[in-house]
Amino acid sequence: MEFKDLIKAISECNQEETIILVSSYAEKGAKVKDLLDAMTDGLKELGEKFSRGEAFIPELVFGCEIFNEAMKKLKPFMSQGTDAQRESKGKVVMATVKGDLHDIGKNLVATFLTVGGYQVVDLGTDVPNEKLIEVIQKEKPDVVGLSALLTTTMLSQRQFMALLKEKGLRDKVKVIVGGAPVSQTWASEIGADAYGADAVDGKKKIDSLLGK
Amino acid sequence: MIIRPKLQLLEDSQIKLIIQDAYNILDDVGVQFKDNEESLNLFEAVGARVDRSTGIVKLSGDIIDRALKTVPPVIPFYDKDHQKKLFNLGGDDCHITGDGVAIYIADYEKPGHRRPPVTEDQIIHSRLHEECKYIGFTAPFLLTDVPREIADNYRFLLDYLYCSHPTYCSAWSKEGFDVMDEMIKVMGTGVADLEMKPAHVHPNDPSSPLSWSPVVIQNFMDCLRTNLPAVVLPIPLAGATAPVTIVGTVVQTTAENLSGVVLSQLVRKGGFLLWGSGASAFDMRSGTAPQSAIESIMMMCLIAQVGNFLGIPSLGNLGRTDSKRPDEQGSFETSNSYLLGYLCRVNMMRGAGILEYASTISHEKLMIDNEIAGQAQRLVNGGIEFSDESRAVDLIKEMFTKNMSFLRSKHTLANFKKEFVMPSPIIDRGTRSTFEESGYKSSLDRAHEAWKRIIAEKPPRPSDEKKKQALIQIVKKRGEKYGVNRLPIEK
Repeated sequence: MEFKDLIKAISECNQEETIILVSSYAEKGAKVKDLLDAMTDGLKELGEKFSRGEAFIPELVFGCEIFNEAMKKLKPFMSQGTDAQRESKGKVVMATVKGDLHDIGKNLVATFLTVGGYQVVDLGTDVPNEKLIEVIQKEKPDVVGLSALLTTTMLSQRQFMALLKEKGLRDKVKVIVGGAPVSQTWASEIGADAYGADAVDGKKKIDSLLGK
Repeated sequence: MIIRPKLQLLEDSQIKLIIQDAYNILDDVGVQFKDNEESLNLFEAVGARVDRSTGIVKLSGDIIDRALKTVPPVIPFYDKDHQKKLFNLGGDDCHITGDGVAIYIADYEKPGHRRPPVTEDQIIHSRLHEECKYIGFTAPFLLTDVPREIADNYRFLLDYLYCSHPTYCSAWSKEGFDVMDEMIKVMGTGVADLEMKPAHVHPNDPSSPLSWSPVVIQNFMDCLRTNLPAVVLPIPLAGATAPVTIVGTVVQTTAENLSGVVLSQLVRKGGFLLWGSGASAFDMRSGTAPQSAIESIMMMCLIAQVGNFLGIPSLGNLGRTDSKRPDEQGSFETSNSYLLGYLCRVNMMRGAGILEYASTISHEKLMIDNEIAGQAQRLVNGGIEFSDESRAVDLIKEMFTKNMSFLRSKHTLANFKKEFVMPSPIIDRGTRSTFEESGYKSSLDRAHEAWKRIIAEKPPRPSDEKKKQALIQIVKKRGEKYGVNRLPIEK
């Protein structure tokens, strides 16, 4: 396997080593796509460690941060061509609904998805449904994940489903919902495609929605 | 003299330092009050530095000091008709409440399974609360046989009809709050000075770290306007939405609570307020928020200690369990919480009858928690009577001299009910033969039998038909917008 040291550095959350290696390989003319694949393998290995109980959530989160930092180092070496494209299992737009400022659950799902090889577009918290529609039209994601922690804000998920239909986008994207007051009953009632009980379950459901 | 055991997790000097740290945070970076002009106007009017574009409010120490002076140290609670004074909350007076955020009910017949709750489940649960003498407040949960849009008001209606204890309950929108207020006025028909005789508590959850969302700000201000006791209830997750250190989370939560103190007293000087917290450790393996981890309990007891130091009644999400069944884990976690909560004087402990990160209500767990609460109350409320009579030196001498059993002494007869709390049959203190004869049952089985017996034998509380019909009409009127012509309770 190529770039074993880079894979190891990411899987061990060694930020300094990762940045040095990525910069050095890129300067020596390594293909950006190969480096991205190695970095993705590093994240995957970190994810496997997590599954075995050898790594913990802060390490996963930090691993993703390192990945993003390394991406920044690679930017100057990226051409307009395809070599900048990272292999991805699919594109997922994540958001916490309007009026809700809680994001820890959503962030965890985003982390698990990133580690699992998905491309994640995270819109943050307090996201109006109209903004989500705009992003769906622009990004054309495979899945939209909508989080709501409060009983006061979960109704936005129903309103989003209605707006999605109204805009003629319902069959263009899968929808998964989650959050403390949310249940499978609620997901079925509003016509979402899936319900993620927690971050691990959310990632599994997205795998299943996309046949991965 | 009654000695009531008390536990201070930190010295007063350390609590003062935590408060200073929180003042520093509020002055330096402030708190965000998002998309609510009215609250920003109130802050600006007293000299707070307000950034209109972000909603960030920076508070100087003198603004906080002024607000702290007017918060009532004790809140009197009445029955749901606002007629009969039941107890005070604050100081050394601590009470347990049910938990109303559940979206499932545990199925005793299928252990570990759960289902969405409906009207009948709430009626049973409220009736059981009526009989739980160690649990002060009830908390109706989320029902699935009415549209979600009116479920907040509907559960409030059911709980009123079947339990007289004060309620811990929230509305989920401005409209829901206004309807709730209308209902309270009907419940307290004919009561003079209704706003000073509260029968409900309303939680308001700032979003950690250091933010308030628009609906929560609105509900919080509405609570104060109507003097409905309002809880500031940040739910920081240590290591995720707050520092991973216990004391760091306490500092952040103190800042969040102080921001609520200031807003509350700007809306209404002397308005009822509770200093709350649902602080929790963050499980670094599963991403869950363990409600009864010892670190979570420590944080909530400490946060309450800060509130009590400032003279504000405190609340903690104590008594919850993360177990999926009302099993051994459930009981020891609740027991840890109640014992420490009482010892640390957490005035209101929210979490009776609930499992699995507060998602699942259980009738059996409620019955067991009532027993645990009875034991904890014995420790702290009953306390230790320390007097010449209780030390009983003369009696010891007399019984020894006369070679008599203490069972024959008047001292025993006069004091045994006061000294010993009598548990219900859920707690097995019987003989081996009785245990075998009754079928080798666990406390869970006995809790199940106990609630079944209550429902079969105890009539529901009498209801005032006029009030009942008026309340049904209020909820129905709101329900019409969502296609409800008849509430399930009318069927």
